[in-house]
Amino acid sequence: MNTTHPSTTLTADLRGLELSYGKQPVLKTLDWQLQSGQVVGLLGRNGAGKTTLLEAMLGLRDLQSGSVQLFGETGPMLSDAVRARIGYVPQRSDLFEGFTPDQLLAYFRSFYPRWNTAKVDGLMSRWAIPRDQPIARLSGGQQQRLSIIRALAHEPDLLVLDEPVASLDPAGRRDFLRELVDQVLDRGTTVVLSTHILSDLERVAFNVAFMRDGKIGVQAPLDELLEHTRQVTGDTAYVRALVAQHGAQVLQRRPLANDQELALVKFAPGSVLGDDVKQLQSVNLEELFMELA
Amino acid sequence: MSFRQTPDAQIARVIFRSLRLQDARWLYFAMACVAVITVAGAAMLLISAPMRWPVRWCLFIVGLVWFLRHRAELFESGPLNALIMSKAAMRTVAALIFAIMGWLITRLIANDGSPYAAVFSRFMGSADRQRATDQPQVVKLSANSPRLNSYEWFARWTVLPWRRYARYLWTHPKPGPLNVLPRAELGFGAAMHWVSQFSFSVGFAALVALAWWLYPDFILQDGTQISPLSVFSIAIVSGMCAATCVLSLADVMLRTPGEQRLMLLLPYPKSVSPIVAAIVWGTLPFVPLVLQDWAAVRAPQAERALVILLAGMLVPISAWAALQWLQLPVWLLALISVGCCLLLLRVRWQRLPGFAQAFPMGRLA
Repeated sequence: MNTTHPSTTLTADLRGLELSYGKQPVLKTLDWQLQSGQVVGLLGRNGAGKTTLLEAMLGLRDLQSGSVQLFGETGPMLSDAVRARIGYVPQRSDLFEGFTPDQLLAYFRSFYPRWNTAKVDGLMSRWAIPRDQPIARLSGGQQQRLSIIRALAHEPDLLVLDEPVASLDPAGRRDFLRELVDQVLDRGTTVVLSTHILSDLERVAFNVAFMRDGKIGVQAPLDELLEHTRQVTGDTAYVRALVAQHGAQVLQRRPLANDQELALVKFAPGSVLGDDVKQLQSVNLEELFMELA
Repeated sequence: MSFRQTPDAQIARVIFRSLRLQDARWLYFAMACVAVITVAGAAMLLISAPMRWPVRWCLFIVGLVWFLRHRAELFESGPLNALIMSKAAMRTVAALIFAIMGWLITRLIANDGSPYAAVFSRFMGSADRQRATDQPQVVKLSANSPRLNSYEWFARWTVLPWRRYARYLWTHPKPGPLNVLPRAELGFGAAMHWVSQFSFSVGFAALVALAWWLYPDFILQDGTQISPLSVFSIAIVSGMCAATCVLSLADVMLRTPGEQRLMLLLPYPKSVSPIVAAIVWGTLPFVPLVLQDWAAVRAPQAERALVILLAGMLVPISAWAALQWLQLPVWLLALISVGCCLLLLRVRWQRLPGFAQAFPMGRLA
């Protein structure tokens, strides 16, 4: 039975998700919350479980335990109203290959109460997708673009994108990101974007979530993370003292040789680092990924 | 009490006896109806099919015309006549059809995994849908068998019009969030579409009337015997119907796991109860049969049987249209349907002590 909590401002509220494939655990008591209107980039190494997490969030995976709430409604059997508010671009564009793009879009259109025909027509012509050719004969990039159009057409309030630009050329990626930004700015859509192309993520994502060991290790606004996170290398006592002194948060700690360690430390805004600044090194998103994912 | 005297065995005997081909006019008539419905569907396809398949259709028509012109010569020949009228041969054909269908389904599942479950479980509200999708495909059959390939080639081309028609219906649904039918088609095939249902019914009515007017002995020869041509038509078209149903089901259900994930996210109807209710309401013409003392039931005259059968086909359509128009809540429809059935059974139960027999016997059996 679905339960509804209309007062919530969370688009998605995932609590204690556990899921294993056979004996291999993929999600380990994972908690994750998405605020309404947030754009979150989901980062993790190959096999970290990003796709599984996104599918579990949408009710496409059966959980061993835990609960998922979307728009205040408890899954996995979501109501029509909630499903109509979700857009999903899967990693592989499985698009009913016997259909033509026009047939596919007509089919999907019949299910949704809202359908932006003008946007669909605009994107179809701008992205030069042949309308009457079987989908099986479209290139991988064209299929991926069609998948994106299908997901955007009903103007969802939650857009889940699982590596949507993997098959796109740079021009296609730029077009897609522009559409995504427009969608977010116009409608306040909540977006979850899983990608390995970090430069794309930096353009659109205001928040990043790093997934590691079946959990969301760190989630924070990207700008804040880049601005206030420093890499510290020193002996363990020094790092511990530094963190204590500034009330900082250790995001990741890696032991090195000779009792040294490398720590990724997030300082509070306005922290005065003084002489310690010499020991600290700024990080970019790629370095964050290497350490946190 | 021996096994033969148990109630179950008695009921089974009655049912099996009713299948005696020489006596069961109802069976003949129902099979003839299936044949006519299918022909009507094919005729409508000829009319509605896009012009991109003209060659295929021309070949079909040429073959059909040739068959119609030479059918008498073909079926009056002694050995073929004997073969067709042979009970054993017909039973063998029926058994083969069933066996092949079972084997074909197994093969389809083996080839494309068992992700059928996702769509059906969506309707049924099962929580295990994804597990079925994730299961590895362990059954493998040889894909290089020439007989298998020939059969698949034949089946694919035989049912091509139906598959095209189904696809056309999927992609041209009436837009709108309340449109239940195109969604139901995901699970139950294009036969659920009201255009399909209505066209079949009207086409059926028109063609049966026309055929009967032109050839009064088309269905029953001299009121008692059935012609070899009719038997052959019934057999071949029944086989085609079976193949069509099975293959269109596979066409509907055999989606890749990725496609099914997308389908699972579509805003489906909450229930298919209106469809069930329409089907239940469609049995209204048969209510008198249920309430009657079956000892008093006689094999119906062909005219009366035709009227009842037509009503049986048209009432679900009208019931469906009424349900769509009234926009009644699903729970009310289900309640009315179940209530009507219970009421009917209660009336029959009350009358049962006065009946001479509870099951069909005598000429009906």
